[in-house]
Amino acid sequence: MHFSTPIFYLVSALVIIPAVLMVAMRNLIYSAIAMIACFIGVAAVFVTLNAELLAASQLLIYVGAISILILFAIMLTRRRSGAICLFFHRQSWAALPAGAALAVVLGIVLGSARFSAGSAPKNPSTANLASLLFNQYAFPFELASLVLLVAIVGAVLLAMRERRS
Amino acid sequence: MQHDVVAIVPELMLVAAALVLLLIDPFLPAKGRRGLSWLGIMACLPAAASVWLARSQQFSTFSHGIALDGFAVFFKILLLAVAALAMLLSEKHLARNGRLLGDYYALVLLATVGMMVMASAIDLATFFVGLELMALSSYLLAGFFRHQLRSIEASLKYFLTGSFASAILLFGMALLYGLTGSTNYQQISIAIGSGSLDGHVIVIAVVLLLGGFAFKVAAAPFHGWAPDVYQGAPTPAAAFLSVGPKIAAFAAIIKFFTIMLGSEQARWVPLMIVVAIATMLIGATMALLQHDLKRMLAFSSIAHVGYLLLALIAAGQSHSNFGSSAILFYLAAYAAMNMGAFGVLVFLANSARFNDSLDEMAGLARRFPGAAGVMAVLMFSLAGIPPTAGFLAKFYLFASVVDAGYAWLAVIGVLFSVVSAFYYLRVIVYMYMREPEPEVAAVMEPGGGRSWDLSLGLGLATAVVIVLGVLPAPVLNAAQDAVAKILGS
Repeated sequence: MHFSTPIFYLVSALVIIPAVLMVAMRNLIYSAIAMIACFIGVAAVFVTLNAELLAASQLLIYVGAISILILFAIMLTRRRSGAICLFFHRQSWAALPAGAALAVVLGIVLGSARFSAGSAPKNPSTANLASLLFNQYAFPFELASLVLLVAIVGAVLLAMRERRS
Repeated sequence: MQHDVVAIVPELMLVAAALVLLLIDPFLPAKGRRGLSWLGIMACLPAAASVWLARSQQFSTFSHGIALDGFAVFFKILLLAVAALAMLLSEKHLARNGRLLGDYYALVLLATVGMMVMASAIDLATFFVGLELMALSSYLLAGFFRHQLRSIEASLKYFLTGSFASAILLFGMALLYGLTGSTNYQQISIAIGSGSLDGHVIVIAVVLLLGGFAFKVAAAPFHGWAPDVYQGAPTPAAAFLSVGPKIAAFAAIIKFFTIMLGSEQARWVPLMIVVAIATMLIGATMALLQHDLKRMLAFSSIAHVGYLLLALIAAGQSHSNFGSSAILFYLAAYAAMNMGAFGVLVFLANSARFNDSLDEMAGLARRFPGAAGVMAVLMFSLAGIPPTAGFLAKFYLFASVVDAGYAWLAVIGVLFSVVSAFYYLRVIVYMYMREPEPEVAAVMEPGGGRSWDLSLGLGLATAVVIVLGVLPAPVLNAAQDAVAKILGS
């Protein structure tokens, strides 16, 4: 995929527009739905990069499981409907030009950049990915299980009812 | 593809201890949880011993993802000491707030594993997973007193800003990978050194990396989270968070900027000078205005990061190891004095109804002579007054800056250091020369039990501060040795 192909812009729009909507929406349910759309867009990016396994897991895990969990969490915890709004509002006047300037600079520099890592791998397969994960990147892969462990411990610590009276 | 487990034995020990803590905690009655901290502390001792036994090793393993070199040995021992000290300070405070849970120590240990991985990583992927392990545990430690609104607020702020910082850092790392086609520090360094890469993209990558790291070490202009987080977090957790993540981040910063981007120093040094001066300015001036001691210590730690960045500039500019070893020595001194200062606040909060305000320090010398004495030594050290560790650390640090040809930067650093002496000495003046207001006096009556592990922790921190100030040679030699034996330089 390259900057010149129309499909690039289509897929980018599929990621960026829902991402902006997700932040801008005042209703958390709409935000969550925009997030699901954004996740699907990311899966599309993986497809255009020939990373089918990643695209499939993106759909299964993020779109299928995580989004549904988040929707449940919102519906179960919200006391009153509609009253939730943005809390970063006061800074938006400064954030907008700063973000826009950053986007322009990044766009100009990265648009004409020469990357030597090259384009998407020619012959990606699940076997190749597995061999990378379990050989070269075996250590970070195993370490990631500790990150997940901490996340689970954290969820229990923050959300579970007090153990003692 | 040799995977040499020797390099990660200390990490495995900490993980095992953390898992045991998580497993046995639910089966213990409330009283049985006393002494759980010792399980964590005792795990740090054999871990440190195994690091020490492997100190002469010099190899990389896990497909060049982890280095076992002198540099990693220095940082791992320092981080283990910080973790053990943090656990020594914690128990009583957790118990008083009804949150004496094994999970706390498990999180401290897992955060330490993440930090140790950050310090020994020589691969971007390994480094990043270590960073996330540390960060995620830190957010939880900040919010450990979940029934206190301020603690939860600290956790949320830390999580949001920290996630952004991680994303920015990751963006910079992705650009480096895109440019060089490798995640290995050494390969990246060789590719960048060849000079055939797109210079504009390198600049962008440097800016993003600098921004991300500035968040992680609370350097201006990305320091805003630090005072809120340290103030809201449980005080012993704040002690840990104000030291551990900074040590680990500086280990990575030294590798990133002086080795990986060493040939690009002309691009990052000017930027780093601006960040360092802004950090010292904001840290020193804002600390003057604080009445809350935890916020004061937060801004003071921001100022200390400014000094450390000065030494980083020296390390990048000159080809000697002076600057980097000054950073290592400074980090060791900073760890002892900063954790000690937070530890005194823990002690006061345990012994009286103490709210971390400066007014409550008035007349402390009469009510708590021991705590006041310890606090005085630590404040002298933080201010950089001899014969304490803080003085020698600052001395070496500014000497390295002068040595690299930045005498004017050293002068600025010393000036801010003089400003900072004011707010440290003010604490001493309050403790020894002020009479407390009547309502404060009522609040600050000694009461509540002491805990001997907290006293032990404070004693150790103070001893380190004094010993490093009088006999710096062993640690200083270790620091120089560590920098000389850094793999891939």
